[in-house]
Amino acid sequence: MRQSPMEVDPAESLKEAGEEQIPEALPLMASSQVQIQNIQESTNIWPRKDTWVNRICYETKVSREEALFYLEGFKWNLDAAMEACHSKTLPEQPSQLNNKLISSLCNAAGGETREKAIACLKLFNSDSLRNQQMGDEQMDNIVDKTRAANRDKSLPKLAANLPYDLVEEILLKLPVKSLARFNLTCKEWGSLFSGHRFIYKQLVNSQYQFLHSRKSEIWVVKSGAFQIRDFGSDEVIKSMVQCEGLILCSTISPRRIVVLNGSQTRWIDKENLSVYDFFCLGHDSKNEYKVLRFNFGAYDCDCESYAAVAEIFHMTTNSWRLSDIQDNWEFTRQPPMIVSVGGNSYWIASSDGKLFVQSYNFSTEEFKPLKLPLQQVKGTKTLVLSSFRREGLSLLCQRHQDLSIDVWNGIIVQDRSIVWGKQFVVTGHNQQILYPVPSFFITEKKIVMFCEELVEEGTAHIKVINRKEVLSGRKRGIIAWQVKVSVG
Amino acid sequence: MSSNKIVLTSSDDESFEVDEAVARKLEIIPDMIADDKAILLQNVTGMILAIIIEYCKKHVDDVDSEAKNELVMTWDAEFMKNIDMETLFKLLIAADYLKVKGLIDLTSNTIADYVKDKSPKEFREIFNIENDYTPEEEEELRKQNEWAFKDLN
Repeated sequence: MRQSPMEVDPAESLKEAGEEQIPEALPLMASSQVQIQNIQESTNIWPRKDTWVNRICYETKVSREEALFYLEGFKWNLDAAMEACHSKTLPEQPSQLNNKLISSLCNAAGGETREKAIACLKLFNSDSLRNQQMGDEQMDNIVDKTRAANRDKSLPKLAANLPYDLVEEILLKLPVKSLARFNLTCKEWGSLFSGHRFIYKQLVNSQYQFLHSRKSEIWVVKSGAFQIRDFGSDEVIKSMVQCEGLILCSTISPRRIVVLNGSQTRWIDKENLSVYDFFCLGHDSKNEYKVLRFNFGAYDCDCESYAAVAEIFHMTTNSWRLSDIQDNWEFTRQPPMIVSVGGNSYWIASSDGKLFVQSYNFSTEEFKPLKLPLQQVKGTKTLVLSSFRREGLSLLCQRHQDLSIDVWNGIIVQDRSIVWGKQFVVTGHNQQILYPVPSFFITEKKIVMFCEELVEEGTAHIKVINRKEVLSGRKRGIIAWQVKVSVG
Repeated sequence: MSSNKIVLTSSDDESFEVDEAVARKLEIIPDMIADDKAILLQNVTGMILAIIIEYCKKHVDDVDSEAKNELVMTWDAEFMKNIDMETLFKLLIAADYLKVKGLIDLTSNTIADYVKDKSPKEFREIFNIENDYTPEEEEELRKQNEWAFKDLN
């Protein structure tokens, strides 16, 4: 089986990536590095209008305002605008007329900025954006309204009549950064963003994304890589688990734990954390969130005592309670990859050489071992667990011998057992050993893997394996792309 | 294929004749299409209904798949551009009432884009929220979320 690694031009790979709507769960990171393989399909990675500005900026190095100017001038024809940016050809008449209108608006409204003028135009009169000619009357009308708004220093109360779930619809589309800002609007809204219903909906609506931690920073990797937190150089992250939009991190020194969501951060007080502590985050059937801390009893010289222990922290009562521990098993990998489904935690463990899924149920507060579809796999392999559609698990197994990848889906039945079914098998000549271990999840047609490494600042590798191609017997099964983003 | 025509009438007595397929994009309709070919929509004005129908005509052949046709997306973007904010909010309410899923998403996305770079103060104004934080609390929250205010001018 001959493998021929291909030369990859980074710029090329950028253009040939795809953005998918994959509304599934959020897998956990492990550290690994993977090389880019063959570049496959050619799909547009900038399908959305707001990212066209980015694309133009990236390719022509113009400023955002300039890119926007050309895009609007060419009526959002991306190719024409791109061309114009390159050649610095000004767009045609209509936009220049708009510019005139905007300028006069600016003057009339008492020296307002362009952006404000455009905003007011959008608010009060849509025709102006379209019509080439505008009567003086209409013009006066807009100018008056703009003056009035400017005088009141207020934007019109547009959303006064909006029913709550529509407000939510809008909020769900907002990026995390905006939500963090809007936390400040009032107390009710502040708690809104942390409400379970909202977090859950965010999950439903979010496109696929991976979480990645790097020193003291947390990154979300989607079609770009976005830093959502930085705890400062003192708080280096040791482990990270997540459950339905909430993230739990433990830091190295000092040893602390913190729970956060998109917009809020909560440090939990706990003395005597051991470096060998493991954490799970979940909730019970009443949606009460809890944190499990357990330790096999390894000696940590910085701790006062060491004994096997399991403790539960209730987020609502802010208190710790002891729980039963089962310690007749081991993790199969360090750091452990813990997956959260339905509020409970799952991970691959081994006991007496046999592999199984260890689970922790936050309702009954117990460990429960569950079956894997394979107890032993001959030869070295890569085994990864992930969540599937918020109710089940996915298992990826790659045999290193022939590099084939098996994917299984498991349905969790009443928290007591898992029913596994084989989804598909990926074979092919141009595979690589997935090492170290990727996070992944599956859609109908693809496996999307993040073999975690932000290679340079803001560049991440995501691999997509297209199942369709596997089924039709084509050889090249892997697409990979580099996602580049500007940092800071 | 026979194309049945349905007449949609707005609250202010404007009537629009459309193909049944287009009318069915308003998912509230299938319950209402019984014997009549004329349907009265009491909660929607003619101006808004016209916009919604224009959207539905364009999207009548949509397949509910993940990949969105780029041409269609361009049209959508242009379509939204030509609507002012006041109308957009009314449109969102109507689209929700009439259950036109794609339009709800499109409109809320557009509004979200408009709102996302606003400051908390501006956000309060648009959504008519009263600030019940004390200045100290607000300052504290702001500090905690410093990173979110970084490139806000």
